[in-house]
Amino acid sequence: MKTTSNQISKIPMTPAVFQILLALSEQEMHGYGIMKAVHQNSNGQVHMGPGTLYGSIKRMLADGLIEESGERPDPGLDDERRRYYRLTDLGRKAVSAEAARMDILVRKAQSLHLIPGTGRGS
Amino acid sequence: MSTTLGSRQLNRAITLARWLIRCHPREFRQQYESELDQVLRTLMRFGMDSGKAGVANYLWRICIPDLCLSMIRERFNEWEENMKRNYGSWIGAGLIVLWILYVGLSLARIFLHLPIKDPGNWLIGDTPANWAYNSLNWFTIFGPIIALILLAAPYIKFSKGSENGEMAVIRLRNVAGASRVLIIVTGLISLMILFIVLIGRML
Repeated sequence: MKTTSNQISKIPMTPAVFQILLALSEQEMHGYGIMKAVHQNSNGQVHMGPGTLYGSIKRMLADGLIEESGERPDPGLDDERRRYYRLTDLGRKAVSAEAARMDILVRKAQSLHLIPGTGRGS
Repeated sequence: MSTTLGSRQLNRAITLARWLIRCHPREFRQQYESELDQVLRTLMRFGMDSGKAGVANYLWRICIPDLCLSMIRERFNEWEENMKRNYGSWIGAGLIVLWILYVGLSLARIFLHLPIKDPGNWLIGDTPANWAYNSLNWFTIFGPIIALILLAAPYIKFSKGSENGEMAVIRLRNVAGASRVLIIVTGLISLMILFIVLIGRML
């Protein structure tokens, strides 16, 4: 994938922003849903607090990485005051570019036998 | 007993978390307060699998420290944004504070016989160059007027007075708090200086 200058300005991104983008890559979600997805994606290692979440959402909306979704997956089952968020094209490209950047680092760590539990680490 | 303790801890944590949310900047609260509140309520509703003590533990360990940090971060961001947006106002405020200090100390020295060095001499030396002397005089007379312009500029709004756009009206948008006090004080000082200059010319 070709990396544009707009994407480059977004990477490297903070862990919180990366986790939120990763969660929203699966589907559009509301705030609490993102918090749960971050917890699950990190195997229970990361607890994202609500302040960090909404602070990051505010900046990501301003940067055009995510947008509010007008649609609600199940309006009947949900509180109407809840806002849903989804990735923009820029957000998808940025998370992809960040994942590729991290992949290079992980490969390097693997080559240095630094990842435990994979048979190549210490 | 432990249930009562858990309930008490949970209530305290919720109260503190809501108070911390209210401590965030107004703009942030307008956008996200109801959502943050809803996250807290959802946490209480679905987190009950781990019991009241479990939810309270989560709130004390994760949620409250996180809200403290985000409050500081958002307050700092707000301050930084304001500084970028209104740097002219900050220069104006600095100018009028300097002027009040300079004139106040000079008057206190003359009328109250305070044992301090003349602020004018302290600023430009005992035998000042012409440009320094003129600059200080210029600052004494025009400092507050420039400060007034800088302070009021962000609140001045030009708008067309009629449908046809025949008249341009200058409106002062709602100024509140410390800015209002500063603008009024600076305006009064500017009027006083203009009055003194006019009287001086007439005599």
